[in-house]
Amino acid sequence: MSVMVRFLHTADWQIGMTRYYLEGEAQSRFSQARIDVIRRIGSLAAEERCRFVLVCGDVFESNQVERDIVIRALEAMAETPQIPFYLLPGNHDPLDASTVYRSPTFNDKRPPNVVVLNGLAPVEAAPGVELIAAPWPSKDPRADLTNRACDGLGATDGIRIVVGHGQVDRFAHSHHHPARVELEVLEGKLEAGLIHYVALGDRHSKTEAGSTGRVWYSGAPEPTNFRETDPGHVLVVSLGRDWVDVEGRLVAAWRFLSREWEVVDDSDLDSIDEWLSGMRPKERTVIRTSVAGRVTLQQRARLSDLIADHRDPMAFLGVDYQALVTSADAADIEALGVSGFARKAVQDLGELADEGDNAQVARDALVLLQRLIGENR
Amino acid sequence: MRIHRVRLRNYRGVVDDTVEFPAQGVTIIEGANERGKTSIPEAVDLILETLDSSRAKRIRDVKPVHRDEVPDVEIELSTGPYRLTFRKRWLRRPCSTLEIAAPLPEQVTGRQAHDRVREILDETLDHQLWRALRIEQLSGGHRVSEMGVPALKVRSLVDALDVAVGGEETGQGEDNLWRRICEERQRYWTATGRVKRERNDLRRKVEDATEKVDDLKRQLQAIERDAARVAELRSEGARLSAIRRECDQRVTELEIRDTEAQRLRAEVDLLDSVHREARADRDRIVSEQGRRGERVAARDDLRSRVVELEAEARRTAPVIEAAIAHNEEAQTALAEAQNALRTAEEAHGAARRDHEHHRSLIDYEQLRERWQRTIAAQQQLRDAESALQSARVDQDLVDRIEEAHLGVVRAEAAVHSAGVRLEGRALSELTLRMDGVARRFAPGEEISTTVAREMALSVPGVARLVVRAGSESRNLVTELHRATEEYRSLCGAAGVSDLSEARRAAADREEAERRRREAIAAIKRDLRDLTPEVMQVKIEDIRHRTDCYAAERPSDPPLPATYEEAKQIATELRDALAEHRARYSRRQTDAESAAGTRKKQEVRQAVLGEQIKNARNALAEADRQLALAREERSDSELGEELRSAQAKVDDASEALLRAEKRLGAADPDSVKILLDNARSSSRRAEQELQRNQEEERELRAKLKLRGEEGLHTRLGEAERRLRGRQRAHQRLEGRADAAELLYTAFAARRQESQQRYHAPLTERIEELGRIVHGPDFSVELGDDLEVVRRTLDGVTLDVDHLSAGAREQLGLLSRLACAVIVSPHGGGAPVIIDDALGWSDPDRLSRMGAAIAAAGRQCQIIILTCTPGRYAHVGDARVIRMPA
Repeated sequence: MSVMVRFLHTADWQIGMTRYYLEGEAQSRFSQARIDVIRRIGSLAAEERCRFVLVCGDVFESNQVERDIVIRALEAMAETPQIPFYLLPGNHDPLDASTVYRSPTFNDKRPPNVVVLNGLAPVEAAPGVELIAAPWPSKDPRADLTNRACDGLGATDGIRIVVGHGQVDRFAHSHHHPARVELEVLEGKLEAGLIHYVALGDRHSKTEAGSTGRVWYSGAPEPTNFRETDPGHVLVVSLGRDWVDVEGRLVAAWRFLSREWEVVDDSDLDSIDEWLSGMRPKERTVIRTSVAGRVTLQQRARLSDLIADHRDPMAFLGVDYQALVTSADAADIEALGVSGFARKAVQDLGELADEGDNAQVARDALVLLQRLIGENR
Repeated sequence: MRIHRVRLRNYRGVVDDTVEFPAQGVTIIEGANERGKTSIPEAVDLILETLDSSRAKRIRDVKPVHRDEVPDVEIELSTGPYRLTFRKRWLRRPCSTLEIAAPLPEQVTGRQAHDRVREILDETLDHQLWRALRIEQLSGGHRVSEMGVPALKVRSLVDALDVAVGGEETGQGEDNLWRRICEERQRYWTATGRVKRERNDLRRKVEDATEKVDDLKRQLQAIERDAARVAELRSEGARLSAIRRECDQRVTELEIRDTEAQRLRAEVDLLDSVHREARADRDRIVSEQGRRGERVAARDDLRSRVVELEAEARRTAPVIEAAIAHNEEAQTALAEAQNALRTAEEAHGAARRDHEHHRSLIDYEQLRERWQRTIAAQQQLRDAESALQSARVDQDLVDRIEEAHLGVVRAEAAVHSAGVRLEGRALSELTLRMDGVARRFAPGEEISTTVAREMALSVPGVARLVVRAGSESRNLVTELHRATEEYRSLCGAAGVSDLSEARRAAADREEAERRRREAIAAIKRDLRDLTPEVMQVKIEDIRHRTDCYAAERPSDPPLPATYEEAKQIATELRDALAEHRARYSRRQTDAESAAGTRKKQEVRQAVLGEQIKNARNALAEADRQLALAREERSDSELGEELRSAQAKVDDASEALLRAEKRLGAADPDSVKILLDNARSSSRRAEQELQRNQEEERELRAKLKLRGEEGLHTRLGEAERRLRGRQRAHQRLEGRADAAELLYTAFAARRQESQQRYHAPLTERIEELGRIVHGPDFSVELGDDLEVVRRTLDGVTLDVDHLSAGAREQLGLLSRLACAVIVSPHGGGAPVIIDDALGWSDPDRLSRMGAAIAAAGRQCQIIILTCTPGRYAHVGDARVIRMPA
């Protein structure tokens, strides 16, 4: 009899995460989105007839998250009681003495379908299907936990799924960190048929590690940062002893976008305006942009105005003006329509704005002047 | 610059009207109120400042109210080298056209036309100043204030300049760019340049938020430390458990070895006690044997002692007898020597008393002689003192008498030499009475006398003559009398008749003095330290003693005849006495020595006797004791017992040695130490383990509690709040810095600009003012170009204290001056005066007219008035009447 199983692979929920740049209600929406996505994952698992959901580490942003967030997350998982959720402690929520997984709140509110993978002993997730878990005992373990969990495994008739967390050696920033996962060793075990799939967490972008097709990072179901290349997915995995099918599904409600603009003339300002106008949904979009180039005082004032117009509906709109120069040459000054001593003062400011320690303040002063003049025309 | 022509079409109430201005001098435009006079300056400003595309309120305001037409203005002017016509229409089909006739013909339209005109104005005059002048005119600054008092136009000029530079349209009232820059700055800075409270509040909020974040981070770090500590404690706990198990096993092993060692030790202890008892038995017998030997030896010693003492007694008997005999001899010799000494002492005593007696006799004689000499000297002293009592003349008095005598002799000589010398010769016998004293002269006898004062000479019966000396001679005579009187007085006082007697009396006194001193010396010498009375008692005492001694002394031996003899006998007997004393002393020593020797020998004999007696008693006792002991146990029995005891000791010693060897091999001390150590280690491991578990329990409890606080979420919130505040703070500070820099840049240039107008404006105002007020007129301008003080005929007054008329005149002069300096190349700019000088009296009006006319030669002046008479004194003015 051939064994097979279908399950949902996810990781890095990072429930309780805050983003310092989110102001007012945006942070609340962001936090809520991380709970809402659990429900979508549960529903998707049910729809896809998955036997269980594997959450491969960093379920919580920290062991010290607010307890009502823990409760809300557990309640969201409880909404699909037929789907077991196996939670693996990762580097953000390690199984140390302060672990959230042994907190009174978690113990009291944990629904029956939520299981913490807190030991090294294999867990039978379905008939013939063993989970080999590698929970993080502390924030800084000094060993390759994933491979260590597989030590001593003998041959099996069933399916073994390794549930791990951490960077595989070829992605790791530090090639010498003792906790990095040695991919080649894992692949050897896959080759030997001792294990059949390695579900990993820690990378927030959906990524396949190696070329066996059996080692995957699902990525975070909701994006957390601008650096992430392909976040917002979960993986629906169908697995047999000698075959595998991994399918990514987009579940994210939020977007993190980063873009650099070069402004040459008014048409570039139009493009920025158009781009920002086209953002949907604005309240769940986080944008970080930088504007470079040289603009006139009027253009600078227009840019400020259009950014201000778009900022409010957005979850976040951050603009870096460092590389933007506001010019105050003769034509610019002429355009201001001032004369006499005012004209000389503007020329003084224009010189200051060109370079030197006070350049930025002088540019701001010119923009302010533009506004003050504009107010009365 | 000069305006030649203004054409208004569809402008307020005007349908189409053209006003042409003369090429030279002042233009007065007359017309009743509401005839549109003020439309002219307004239209000039609109066409120059407003784009044709403008739909500003100013433009809409000039559109005819009841006609569907749009305003259209055309102006012809010359400025610098240019002559041009500029036309503009607003609101509908707006257009701008510019036709330049000179220096080169040029035609421009649209925005370019507007810009070109601005360019020409900028090139040929101080456009800002001229605009300020127009703004001032249009904004009503020159008009009378609400209180009916004219406001000062120069103040308005500064504001107008601020408006002019802002590129704004006129008529905006107080709200100009400069004011808005100031207001913007005031949003962030206080009037004194300090940071406003809102900014400080925000900064503090940032600090508070930072502190909160740091605090939460610290708390989270503490949790992480605690969690890490728990992990450490667990690993430490495992290690401690292993140690404790190892220690327990070791304890069990060592306890077995310790039990065996203890058994061996008990065996050794038992054998040791057997050995000790055997040795004690043997030692007791050895000791008994020793005591027996000691007794025998002691008895033998006593026997020898008795023999020795008896021999000694026999040896000392003759020595004692000799000592007794020698002692008796010495006592006899001592008694003899004592008797001889007593006899010698008596003889010496008698001889010494005789010697004393002779010395007393001599003393008596000497004292008697001294006494007699003292008596004689005392008599001499009394005589001398008596003589001294009566002799009053001493040497000092003699000297004074000698001096007085000398004075008399000198006076007599002077009288003699100065007096009248009367000399003659008796020719016959003659009786001559001189001062009543008759004197007879023989014939041929010389008559000679000296008349000191006056002398009456008479020859009785013949003549009576009076000879008088001169006045000098009379004075000398007086002096002579005085000297003579002094001399006599001193002699009287001395009790002598003359100088020679005085000298003798002085010599007698000196002699008495000498004798007195002599007597005192003699008395002192003889009495020495005695008084006469004591001396007398002493003499008497010596005499009595010698008499008694002579009477009482035995006759034998006879008293030596002389002192010397007595002295010699005494000396001889004293030497003999000394010899007897020495002999007696020697006999005494001999006797004491002999007595001591005898005593010593007697004591020795007694002691020896006692010793012999005691030794004999002791010997008898020792013999008795020894006999008793031997009776109890004989010497041979004692020897047998000793041999048996020694054999038992040897056996016990060997058994003990063997047992000790076995105990040594078991090393009980080391086993004991090792066992104790193993037990301590086990206990310590147990304690540490307990402490470890306790700490872990505490930490876990603490972590459980803290975990429920959601610190990470709170930190995220706090960081978000902090970043938000930092951004707000940064933005606010950026705006504040920008506002400050903008203000600073504008303030500096504004100040500079005002300073530039300061001097020329003052100069022109004074130039025109002197026409009105005379040569002693001057003004002082404030930093903002306001006239602040006026000086006239040496009196300086603040402008506020001037009359309304004077202020109005000053204002007008300021505007004229301003118009003159507008063009740096001369020619000024048009200035429009709207019915000013309502407050001036006729005389001032006349002078102001002259000033206006003078200014009119430097710039174009257009006066709008509804009261033509007011400007009658402006010479060279052309009047244009507005149609009714």
